[in-house]
Amino acid sequence: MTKPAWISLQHIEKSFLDGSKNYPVLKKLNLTIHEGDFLAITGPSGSGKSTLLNILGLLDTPDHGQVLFNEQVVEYTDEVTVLQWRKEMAAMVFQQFHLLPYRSVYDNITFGLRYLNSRSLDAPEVEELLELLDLEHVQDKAARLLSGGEMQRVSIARALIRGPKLILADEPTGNLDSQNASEIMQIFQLLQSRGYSIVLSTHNPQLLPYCNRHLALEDGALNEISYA
Amino acid sequence: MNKALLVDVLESFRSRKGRTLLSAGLIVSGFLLLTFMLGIIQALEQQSKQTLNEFGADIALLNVAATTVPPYTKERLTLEFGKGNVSSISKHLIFVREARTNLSVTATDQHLFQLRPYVSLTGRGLDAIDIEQAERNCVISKSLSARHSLKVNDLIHLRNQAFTIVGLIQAFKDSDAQIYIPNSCKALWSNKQNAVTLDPKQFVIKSQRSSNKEITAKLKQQFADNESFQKKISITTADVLLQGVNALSTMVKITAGGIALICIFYGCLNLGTLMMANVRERVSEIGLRRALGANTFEISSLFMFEALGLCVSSALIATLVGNAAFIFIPQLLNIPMQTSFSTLAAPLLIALIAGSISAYYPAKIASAIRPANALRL
Repeated sequence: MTKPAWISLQHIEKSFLDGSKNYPVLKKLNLTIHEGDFLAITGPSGSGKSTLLNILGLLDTPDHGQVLFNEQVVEYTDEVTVLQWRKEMAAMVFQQFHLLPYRSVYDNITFGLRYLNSRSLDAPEVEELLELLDLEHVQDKAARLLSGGEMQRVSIARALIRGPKLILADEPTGNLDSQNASEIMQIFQLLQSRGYSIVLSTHNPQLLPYCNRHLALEDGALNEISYA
Repeated sequence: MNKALLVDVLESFRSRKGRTLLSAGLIVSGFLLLTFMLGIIQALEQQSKQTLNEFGADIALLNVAATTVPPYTKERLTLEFGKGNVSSISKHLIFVREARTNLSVTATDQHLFQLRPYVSLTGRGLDAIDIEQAERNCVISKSLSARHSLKVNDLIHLRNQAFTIVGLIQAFKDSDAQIYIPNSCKALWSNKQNAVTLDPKQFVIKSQRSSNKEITAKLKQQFADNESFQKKISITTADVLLQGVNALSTMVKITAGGIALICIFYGCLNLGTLMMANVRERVSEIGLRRALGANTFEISSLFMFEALGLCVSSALIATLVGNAAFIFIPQLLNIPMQTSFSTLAAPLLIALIAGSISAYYPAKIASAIRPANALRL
């Protein structure tokens, strides 16, 4: 029996203007994500992987097409809906980590909580996350002093602290060595087992075995390569 | 301001110490200058008010440049302005034995002490009997009394002529040593062979007409029959004095206001540049905040509060340092400065306005940054 669609992208089109020339990146793209999916999107540089993840995270708007959540159309023009999505639904993990270099690991993890009215900056979940991601020993260290692997783990903890349902990881291992990359992927696998849905963009084929779905983004459209 | 915003603002200052301190230094120097200017204006205005109070709002001075004064002058003035409303004055520099120097001696009548706002400290002023009988009595200023330990009933010698001190007064410009004697006394101290009664060179007039123009017209009319004398008189009234003071005050205000405006403009420009640099440097942080759920108002608030925090705290330092300096600068440099509500409140108010204006555009730019574009960097 086919799982019901949780998030759907329908006929998404996105292009970028460079001078007077229009460069289409996504062309009538369709995608369905189910709860608990660990989905890898591969494709060469510039194929639109980051753009697709940004549209999923409501950080960018498509030129055409729509995003559906539980079969309801998500209104891009409604700021309340967009902010609600960013705060509670989807969390991003970036290749460049985007940590605040002069602040401690603890402060970086709890940084996003200030935008959630219902949450205190001293959330009890922080300790749990520090333990889960093996960051207890560096929690008071300034982020700029961490290794690449530690930085990405902090970035994941920052995403998880807000309790999102969907994690959007844009080349999360792009700046890491193979050992650290493997550790990060194991963390994502663990998160999937705990019920998180993960969409990961990568051009590293070694990461694909960790995911249950693999889609290739080619010429602005997605092709389902495998579905485990 | 909530705790998280306060932490963000302080953290931003801490992580950009050099740039923040440099900007704060420039803003502090600008507001320090503004505080000094306000202090000087305040002191000048205070001095002007005091001068006017001491001069008297309904007093006019008729100054005579002629060598001889027609004998009917005082009578005519008394006829016009009323008995007791006119006093004549002549001033002389005379060697005073007790002071061992030449001092200003004013020969006058009993009316002067009612017309001028002198404060009688001990004894009395010159009275009608002193004038009628040309008594060798005098009134001295408090400063002269203090300087030479002179008191009522002591003798004071103008050259070789002894005068009895009958009163001490707090005089106009009391820093000057003043002696007042009856104008009916013969000028025996003068070098002339025959002592003569001195011609007055100034008349103090109390008039209900406050306008200098009105009084001048009236006085010119009084002496219409003596054209040469008419040409040699000039009139000083409170409104003329006020015009002079106002002109000086306006000049200081324009100069100080201009300097202050330049300082504020310079400070705004500096702050705006700093905030623009901050925005450009923190594009990815802005993108991250937006990705974490910050709305445009929260982004613009962050930069507004940073600018206001820097501007107002710098202005606060400048105000405190500036007003503290008012204690010793007037003594050291002999420049009048005075603390007032305006020297305390104006820099802070201007800092609030200037900070808001200069941060508005950078804050607007920051809030308009699209998160997807920001996070791509």
